[in-house]
Amino acid sequence: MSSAKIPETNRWEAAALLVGMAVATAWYAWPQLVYSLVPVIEIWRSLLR
Amino acid sequence: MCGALALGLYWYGRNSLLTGNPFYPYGVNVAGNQVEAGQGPTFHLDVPTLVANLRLAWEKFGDKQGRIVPDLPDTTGWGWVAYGMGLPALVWALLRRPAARALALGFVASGLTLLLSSPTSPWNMRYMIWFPAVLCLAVGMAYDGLSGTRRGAAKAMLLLFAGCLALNFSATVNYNLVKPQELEAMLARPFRDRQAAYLRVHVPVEYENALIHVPSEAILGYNVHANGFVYPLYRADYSQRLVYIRIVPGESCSEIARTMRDAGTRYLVGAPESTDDSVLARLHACGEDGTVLRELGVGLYVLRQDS
Repeated sequence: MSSAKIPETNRWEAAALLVGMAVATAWYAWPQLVYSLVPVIEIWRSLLR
Repeated sequence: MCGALALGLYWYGRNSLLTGNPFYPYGVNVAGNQVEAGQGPTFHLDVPTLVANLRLAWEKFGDKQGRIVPDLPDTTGWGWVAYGMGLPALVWALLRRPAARALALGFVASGLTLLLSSPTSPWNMRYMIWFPAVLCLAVGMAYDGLSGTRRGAAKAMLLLFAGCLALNFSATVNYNLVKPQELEAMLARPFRDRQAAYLRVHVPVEYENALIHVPSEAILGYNVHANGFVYPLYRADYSQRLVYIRIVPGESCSEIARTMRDAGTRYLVGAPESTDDSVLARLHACGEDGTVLRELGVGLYVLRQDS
């Protein structure tokens, strides 16, 4: 029994996928970028003081 | 699918047989006393609950309403990988990988069943925390789709994944709950004395009093209701032994003192939000009376030596 053939991903499809991920990440970034980074920055500043 | 059904049905079937209700757990017993009642034999699945839960979920979708905190009052908490990479990957997988359709359908069906049966509450996203697994699986499928022939795109995807993962991790470092100065003060303490109660993050001051006034080698009595918690009382090095003191409505101070003596403790702690108000009022009255119990600190009571 042969396994099902997985269709190849073409160049445009790969580009669309990456652009989609970049857009979705940018959409998610506000306001979570602030929330994700602020505690780390604050803790490092506190530890380095 | 069959494996999941077999695993799940065993527990639902067991609960159903023993309690008459497949969806709810048993009551919780501590030291022979029931501190949380088991649910009743009835449950209901209704569309208005589903609609209300879906509306809440939609309001939280995208984590736009605020910062992610552990009990998820305003957000889904699914994070960077699920939203940033998972959503486009799922769209791609649904179009290009037929196997992903059944998988996604299973997740959606499970999610809808949960939202149909779960009481509506601002914290209901905690029960959906497994849902973004389908988005992460889609990311894996997308990477597989690229790694064979589109190496450059696959590398770019890996880079994005590393960035998203780092941001997910950074959000969990502190959850924006503890002030850096408090963390600093905590780090200055000896390792075994870094008590969660000192941070006072959702921890009542009464618990801090207990840690300060009760010797760690003593047995500490506590009374909490079904939604109370006691973990800070164990201390950071788990040296404190705890015992649950059952107090029934209308009990006298002498009866409470006898229960404490029988349990081998001189100390009893209770706190607002964790202990029933009626119990706190009774303990306060006993402390005021001072015959058998006296108040050692706010919410902390000790048996009089001469009682």
